[in-house]
Amino acid sequence: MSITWENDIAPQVECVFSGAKKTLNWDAFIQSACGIPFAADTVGFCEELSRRLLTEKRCAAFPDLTALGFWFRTARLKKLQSQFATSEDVIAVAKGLVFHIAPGNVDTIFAYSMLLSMLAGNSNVIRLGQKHTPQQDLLLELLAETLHNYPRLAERTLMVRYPHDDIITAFFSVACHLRVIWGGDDTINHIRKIPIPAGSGELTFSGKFSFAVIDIEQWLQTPSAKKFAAAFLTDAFSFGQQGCSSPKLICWCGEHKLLSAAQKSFWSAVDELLAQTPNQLSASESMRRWLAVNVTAIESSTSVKLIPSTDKTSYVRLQLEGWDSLVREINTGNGIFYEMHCENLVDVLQHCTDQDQTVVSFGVSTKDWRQALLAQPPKGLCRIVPMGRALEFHAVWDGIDLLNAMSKKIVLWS
Amino acid sequence: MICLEQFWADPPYAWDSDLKQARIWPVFQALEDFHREHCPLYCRVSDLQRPSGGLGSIVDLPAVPVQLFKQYDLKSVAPDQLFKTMTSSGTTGQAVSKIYLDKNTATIQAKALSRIMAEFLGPKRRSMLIVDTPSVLRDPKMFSARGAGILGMLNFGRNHTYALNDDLTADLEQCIKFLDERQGEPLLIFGFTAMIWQGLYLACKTSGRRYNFADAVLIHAGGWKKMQEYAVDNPTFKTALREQFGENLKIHNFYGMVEQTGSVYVECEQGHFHVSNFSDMIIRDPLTFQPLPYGETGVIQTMSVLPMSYPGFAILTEDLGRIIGEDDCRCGRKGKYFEFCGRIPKAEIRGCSDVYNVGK
Repeated sequence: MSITWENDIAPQVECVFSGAKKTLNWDAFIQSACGIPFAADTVGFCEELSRRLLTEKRCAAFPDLTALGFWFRTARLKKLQSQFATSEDVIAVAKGLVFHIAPGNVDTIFAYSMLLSMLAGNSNVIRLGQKHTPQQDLLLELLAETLHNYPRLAERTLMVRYPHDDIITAFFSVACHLRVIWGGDDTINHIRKIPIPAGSGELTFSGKFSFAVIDIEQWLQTPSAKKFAAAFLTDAFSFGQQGCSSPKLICWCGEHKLLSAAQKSFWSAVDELLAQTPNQLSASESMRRWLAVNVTAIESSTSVKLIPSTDKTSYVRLQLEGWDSLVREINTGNGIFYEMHCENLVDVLQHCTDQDQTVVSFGVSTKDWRQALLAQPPKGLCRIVPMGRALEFHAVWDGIDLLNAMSKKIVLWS
Repeated sequence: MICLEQFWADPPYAWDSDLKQARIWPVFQALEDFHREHCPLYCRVSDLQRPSGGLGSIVDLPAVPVQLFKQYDLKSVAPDQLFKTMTSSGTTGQAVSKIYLDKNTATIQAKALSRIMAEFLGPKRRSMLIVDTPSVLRDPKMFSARGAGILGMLNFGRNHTYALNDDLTADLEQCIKFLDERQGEPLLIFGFTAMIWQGLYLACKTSGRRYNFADAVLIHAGGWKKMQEYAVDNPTFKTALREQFGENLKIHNFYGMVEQTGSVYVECEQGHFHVSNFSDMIIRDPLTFQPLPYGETGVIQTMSVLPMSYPGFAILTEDLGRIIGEDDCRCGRKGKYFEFCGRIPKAEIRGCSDVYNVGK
C-alpha cells in the first residue's frame, strides 16, 4: 500500500504555507520542480521580501529579520548572480525538489536555506521547527504576503510543521533531489537513516564550535577597545551564545608576558558595556551555566580558574592552562568563556578539530592568516571573520557553496 | 572522625542562632577538609569555588550542584567500606542521583531522622498506615528514594499496614480494616503527598468513610507539582484531610532529598519548614549566587553535618525557597524556618541547538 499525500501526509502535517490554489496536488508539485537560477521573478521576489523586512515597522524589534532583509538586498543579489556566472559550455539549472529540515530554534536560518534554493531555481519543501516565536511568525506572515504576488514561485513552495515522524520525513525524502539538514548531530544521524533516492544529494549542517583569536599586542595597541568589545558581545550573546558561530573560547595569541594586561583591558571594556546592558539570564539558564562551570572543573585535564564578571551575572570566565577538548563538549552558552594562551596562529590551527567552524579574529591580518593556513591546514574551520560578524550569513556556509550545491550543471559540448 | 557528640546531646530544635553557628561551623570546615582529601572530584569543585582568601564563614563553603550527583560518582569512602547506594526516584530515562553510604553515615542519618521525627510523633511507636504498595520495598527496581523514605519511617511505627495496591489504587479493604480497628489508638499515616490524596483521601471520601481520630499524625513527603494538577494546595489539602479524618489530625509536610537523608526539614504547626540542629540553609540569588537576606526568594542551598561517606554536606538544589525567620517561630522551635517555593521554572533552550540540544 503506497503512502499518498491526500490520505496519509496532509492530515498529519500543519501546512504553514502552500501556494496551491485549492488543495495541493502532490504529483503536480513534484512535476513542477525545475527552474533556472536567478529567474527574474525569483529575484524580484527576494527583492520585495528584502524591502518588506527592512521597512515593516514590526521587524525593527528583531535584528535577525533586519539582517535577513539586508542580506537579500538588490546589491547582494547582483553580486551573487555575477559570482554564479557560468561559462558558455556549462549551463546551470535547478536540482529539482529540495527538502529543507530547519533547526528547531533558530528562526531565520530556514529562510536563507530556502531563498538561496529558490534563487537556484528549485521547488522547495521546508520543514519548520515545532516552536512558534514572534519573529518567526512575523517572517512567515511577510513571506506568505510576498509569495502571494509571485504565484508561480508560490506554487512550488510548501512549508510544513510536524512532530518527529519518520513516515512523513520519508515521504518528502523519497521525492527530493537534494535534502538539506540543519540540526544537531543526533538529528542528522537519525534523518540520514531515512533514504533519499540513490541519485539525490544531501547537505548537512551539524553542530559546530567557534572561537575567537585575539592578538595580544594588537589588542593593547587598539584605540577602539570599546568598539571591538561591543562587536565581541554581539558575536557572543546573540542566540544566548548557543549559535554554532557564537565564540565560546578566546585564544590569546602572542607574548605571554603581555597576556594579563590584554585580558584586563579587554574584559574591563566588556564590563563597561555590560554595566549599561547586562546579559540577562533566567534562573534556569544561570543554573545550567553554573553546572557547566562545575563540570568543567571536574572534567578538565588542566587546572581551571574561575573569574566571574564584575556584575556577577553576565558571564563567567574559565581560564585553562592549555588545549582541552572539553571546551567543545560544553555547550550551555549563556555567557561562559574559556580562555587560553597560544604562542602563534600555527599553534591555534594545529589544535582545530572537524567540529570547528568560525574564528572571530582580532588583530591578525588576512596575510598572516593565509600564510598560517597554508603552513598548517586545519581540520574543520570554515570561516575566519572580523570581530562582530560571527553570525553574519555567507553563501558559502560550513565550507559549502550553497548556490552551486543547490544547482545542477549541464555540460554542453560544441 | 568528625565528632557530632553535641548534636546528639540536645533536642534537635534547641539551639539558637549563635550557639548553632558556633557548633556547625567547625564541623563544616572539618567536613570540607575531609572530603577534599577523600574525594578527588569534590576537591576539583572545591578548588574552583573556594574564595582565594580562604573560607571566612559558612557562606564561603563550596556547594555541590545537585545535578553532579547524577553525573558523577561522588564518594569519599573506600569501596570495601560501602554499605549501600541510594538512588533518587527519577522518571524512566532520567539520570538518578547515586549516593554512597558507609555504615557510619547510614547510621547517623537514621539517628538524626529519628530525633527529628520524635519531635513531631512523640516517643511512643504508633500504629502505622503506609500509603504506598508493599512492593515498593520488595522490588529492587522500585527501591529508590520512595522505598528509602518508607524504610526510614518504618521505625517510628508498628502494626505496619500498606494502603495501596501495586497499581497505586487504594486497597480499600485493608485501609478500612486498619482505620476502623485502630480508631482509638495513636496513629501514624505516612506517604507521598499525591498518593495520600489520590489513594487514601479520595478513596475514603468516595466510599463515604469518615473518621475522627483523637491522636493521629500524618507525615507526607514530596512536592506540590503533582498536586497542582489536582488544583490542591497545602491549606486545601489540610482542610480536606481533616474533614475526612478528624479535626485533631496533625499534618506535617516534609522537605528532604536522597542527597541529604536524615536531616530533613519538617513543617511545624504554623505551616513553616524548620531547619534542625543537623542542618543549615542558605538562600542564594539564582543569578549571582550571592546569599540573600531573609524574606527574599532564591535557590535553596541545603547543608547537613551528616554526610561523611560522600561530599554532600553543602548542596545547591534546583528548588526555590525563602527564609521567613530564625529562632522566633510561634511553634517555639529554634533555628531558621522557611517556605518552599517550588522548582526553578525550566527555560526554553535558545540558539541553534535543536531539540536534542547537541551542537548547532
